Amino acid sequence: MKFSYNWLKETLGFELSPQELAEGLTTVGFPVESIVPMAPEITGVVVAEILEVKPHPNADRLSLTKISDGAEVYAVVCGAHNIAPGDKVPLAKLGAVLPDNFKIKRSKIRGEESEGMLCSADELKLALVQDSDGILQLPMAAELGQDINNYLGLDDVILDIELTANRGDLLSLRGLAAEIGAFLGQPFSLERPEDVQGGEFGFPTTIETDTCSCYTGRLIKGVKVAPSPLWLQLRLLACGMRPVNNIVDIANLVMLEWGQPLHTFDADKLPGQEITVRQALATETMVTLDGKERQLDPSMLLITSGGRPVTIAGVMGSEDSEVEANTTNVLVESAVFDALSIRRTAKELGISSEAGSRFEKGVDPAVTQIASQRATGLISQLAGGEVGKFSRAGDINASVRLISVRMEDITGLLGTSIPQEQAIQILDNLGLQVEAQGDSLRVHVPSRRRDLVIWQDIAEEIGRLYGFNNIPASLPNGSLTLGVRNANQRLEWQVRELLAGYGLYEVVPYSFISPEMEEKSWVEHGVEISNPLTREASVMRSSMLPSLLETVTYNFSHGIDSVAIFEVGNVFKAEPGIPLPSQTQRLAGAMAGKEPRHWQQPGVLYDFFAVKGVVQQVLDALGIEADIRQEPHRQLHPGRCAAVYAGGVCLGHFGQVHPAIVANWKLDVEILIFDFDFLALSHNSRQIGQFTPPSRYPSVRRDLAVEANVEIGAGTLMDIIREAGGELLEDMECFDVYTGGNLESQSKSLAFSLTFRHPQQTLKEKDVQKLVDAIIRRLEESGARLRG
Amino acid sequence: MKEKLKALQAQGERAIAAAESLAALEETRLCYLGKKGELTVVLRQMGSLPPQERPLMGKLANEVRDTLETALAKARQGLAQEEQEQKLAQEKVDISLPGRRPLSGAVHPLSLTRRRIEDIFLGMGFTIEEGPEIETDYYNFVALNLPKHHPARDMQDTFYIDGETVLRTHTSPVQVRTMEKMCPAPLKMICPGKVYRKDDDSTHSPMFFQVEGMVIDKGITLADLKGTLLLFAKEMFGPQQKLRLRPSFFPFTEPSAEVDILCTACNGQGCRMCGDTGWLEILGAGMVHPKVLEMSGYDSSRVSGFAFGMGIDRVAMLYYGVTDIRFLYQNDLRTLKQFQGGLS
Ligand SMILES: [Zn+2]
Repeated sequence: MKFSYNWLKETLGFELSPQELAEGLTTVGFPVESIVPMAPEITGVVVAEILEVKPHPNADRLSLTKISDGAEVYAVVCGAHNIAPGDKVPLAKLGAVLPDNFKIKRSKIRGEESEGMLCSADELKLALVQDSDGILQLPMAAELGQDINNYLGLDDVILDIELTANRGDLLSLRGLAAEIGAFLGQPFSLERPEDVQGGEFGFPTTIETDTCSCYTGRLIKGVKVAPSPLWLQLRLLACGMRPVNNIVDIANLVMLEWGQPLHTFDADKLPGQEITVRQALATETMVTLDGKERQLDPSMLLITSGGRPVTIAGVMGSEDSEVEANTTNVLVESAVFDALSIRRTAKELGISSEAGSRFEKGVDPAVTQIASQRATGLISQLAGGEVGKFSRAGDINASVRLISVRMEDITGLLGTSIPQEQAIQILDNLGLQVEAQGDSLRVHVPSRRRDLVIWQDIAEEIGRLYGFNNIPASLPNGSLTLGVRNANQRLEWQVRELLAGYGLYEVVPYSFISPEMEEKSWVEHGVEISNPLTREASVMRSSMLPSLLETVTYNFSHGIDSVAIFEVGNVFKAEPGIPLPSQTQRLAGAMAGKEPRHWQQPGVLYDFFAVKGVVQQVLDALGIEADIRQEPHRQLHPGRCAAVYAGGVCLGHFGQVHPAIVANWKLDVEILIFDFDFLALSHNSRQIGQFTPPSRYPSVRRDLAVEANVEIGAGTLMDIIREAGGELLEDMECFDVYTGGNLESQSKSLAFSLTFRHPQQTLKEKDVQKLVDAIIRRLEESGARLRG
Repeated sequence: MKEKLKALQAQGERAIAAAESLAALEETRLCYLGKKGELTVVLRQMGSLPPQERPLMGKLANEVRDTLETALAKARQGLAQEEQEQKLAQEKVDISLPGRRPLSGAVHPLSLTRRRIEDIFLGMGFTIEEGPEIETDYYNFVALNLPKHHPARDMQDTFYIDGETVLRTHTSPVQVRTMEKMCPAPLKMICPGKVYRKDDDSTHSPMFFQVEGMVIDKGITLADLKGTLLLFAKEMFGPQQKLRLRPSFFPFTEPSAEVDILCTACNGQGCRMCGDTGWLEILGAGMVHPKVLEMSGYDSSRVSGFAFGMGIDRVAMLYYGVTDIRFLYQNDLRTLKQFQGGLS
């Protein structure tokens, strides 16, 4: 909220600088976001009086004036017509600097010397409202020669205070001064205005709903709408509001003083001679002040007259009942509306206003009538008119709440013991009445402090003003607890470290993607966000693939030609009949482009076996005995895809992304991916098992070159060799694969290196030969044959 | 004969010294000491000597052989060393060429930061809890004392799936779920994870990471909250750290505070990063509101608790000097490469 520093200073009479005040407010919980001057810097402008006005001999539109600043008389050429001898005006003397660095220099205008300039409000960059265009007219009482900044109070600064949602009471001088008074040890309460005695006329008022507890209206006849006096306009400017006319300005000033929003109607424009407060009908519409026709609904609270809506209560008035220049009869509304109802309506209609923001946080029913009285007094003082009676419907329900709290409980919550007298003093400074009863406090909370409800609230007030920073630091007592990651959490970090160690980079893309990304990637539709920021981020993804492809695309488009990435993240799927969509944690990754190259090795591109290697390495590291099967997958190349099984469950898949999908992403590269169900990995992961001592006996190596039909998988051949080799086959490596050359067209050749070893004895040559023969026999049975 | 042997020795010694390679040296050896070598030839003539001279000549001949063999060995060693040196000189490589490095990627800076934060709280005996990112309105708001249409709901601009389902705006729903699971036993947990808010600028991302923590037990106080967070701040940001608590308002805590740490750039002196205040806001915290305790089943007259929350992104940005939060979600490999070896 924006508020005038000078106003607070005048009200409380403190000596704090704006920075010191800001620091104090920050300490009690209301940081000041900015401190800005209420007006741009002006120098060399003083209050002066016009002594003489004569026509300029060489220009019809100009006049020659003699001006006095009380000490000297200046000749000034002026182009405005709203001046006459005796007027008090701002004079920018030679050397003065106006906003936008406009410097006043001695000049000749059409042959006449000018020793300065008379200023308009515009030239001083002040958004003041005036009767006539031209030079700013100052009150007659203004003292000659006084600096304009001092005279108008332009040295004021506007504090922008960050308030918390629970403290609607601080949206006023009444509340802010009380809060500042509390930390200065200077309890404050705003003085009640005297009521103006009124006549017997007024509009009968009825409430037909329970979302308005009290409505008051007061009619003032024969007012003169005009610009407000300067002091009032300047006060509003210093609180960041724009002056309009005396009636509207008074309503705003009273709101700033008391926190009670007021509404003013042109009484003659009301359709009836009465006011009824009720809920809107589903069929009703109203044109609001901003010229928009609003469709109303029964959740909205209306002020009506003669059966027609004239205000959406607390939110916005109608275009055809507002106070204008020709208004003579004014109805001043001061009421208590239900905070929730106002909040809903304002939100639904998308209207935010000073009044609405106060009603939403709850206004104090104790000031409904006071604020109306204050406004009435000011109107009759500044705009004249005859005041009517106070018409009221509903009750003023401003009861005092009683909260009891034990000192012991306060100590137990804050962790430090604050002396009872000090606690009482603090509450007293806050304007709360306290009685001590043994070691308990009985606190009387006025209706102004809606936020204080339970004893903890009182404890907070005491702690807050005692100073959270004066509370010592301690550590919780209690038994020791075990702080360890669970198995799944440990595995998550293990996998991150493994994959980073294999040259992959962890990425963190957004969980929300676009429907286009889903379509391009051939994945199922995820969970739609009903109010997304943009369409590009409107669906909670059902698959990791689009995010991976987007990241690959991003990096390729930035000139990076080697991409190896992984992500641990969640995917989502709407489940019919279950309140929340399902959430599955996945481990996925992608590799594309050049494998990092070395000058000793030729450059190669990431291919199926690159991703398979990473997958196998991870599976081994996690102790997962996996079965890798050729299995089609919608998003993968039909000839380059695999699924990983363990314990009969599919853990995930890997392979080359279907080229048609890659083409959808406007890429031309093989993209290899893997995508696992993280929990399935975790469930099948094994700790390192029993240790086996290494054999002391020598090993025997044999190489086999096998020729087989291309349709027979290397894996099948290796399974056969492993089975036939039995326990003595310690290790097997496939070290060469080739096709073509002198081979038949449907044949391929694979070379295996076999290592045999016995755990308890030296293998004999003939035993090894027996095993090799068995292996060859089994290979031949399956259609392969030994080469050369 | 004696002269002959002497001459042979001198001649041999010269030849050995003159040999320029191991091969030449071997030739020299064969020439003098080989089966057809000159010494052998001389020794064969021993038979023609008178018997009384034979022992003397024999001794002399052995001496000559020993002398030559010693010289040979010495020369062999010298030549071998020379040849080795030559060979090594030829094997020289350009050590400025790049090495064959094992591949190395990196863990994301947000994970690195999360890991550090987690480790500190694990060390204090906290457990790590997780929960759904798409949440019910109840767990995200109502159970945290934020009933429907509560004005404080505006503090967190929310993404909705439907009227009753939201993208969690904080990880607090995990606290509620953990309270329900643990009640009435004490608990001490943190919950890190992704959260979502409708916000997008250089310091706000619509998806970001939070870690929240909660301790519930008998006799937990605001002072305990301060102590716990101070311990964390010192471990995370350095032993010089101090905390500043500013009263604030959150519907789920009472009292509530914003917690500042000493500015990590200027150590409290005041600089541009901290807006000359010397402090940086990194945490929101407070004593768990009795309504929140009650809604999850705890008896608020018997136990109390504290809760806190911070943005992992904010900590990562401070830690690594990241100026725009969007760098963290761009996944540009040129960014990520800077975090190689970051996990320690
Ligand atoms: Zn700083």
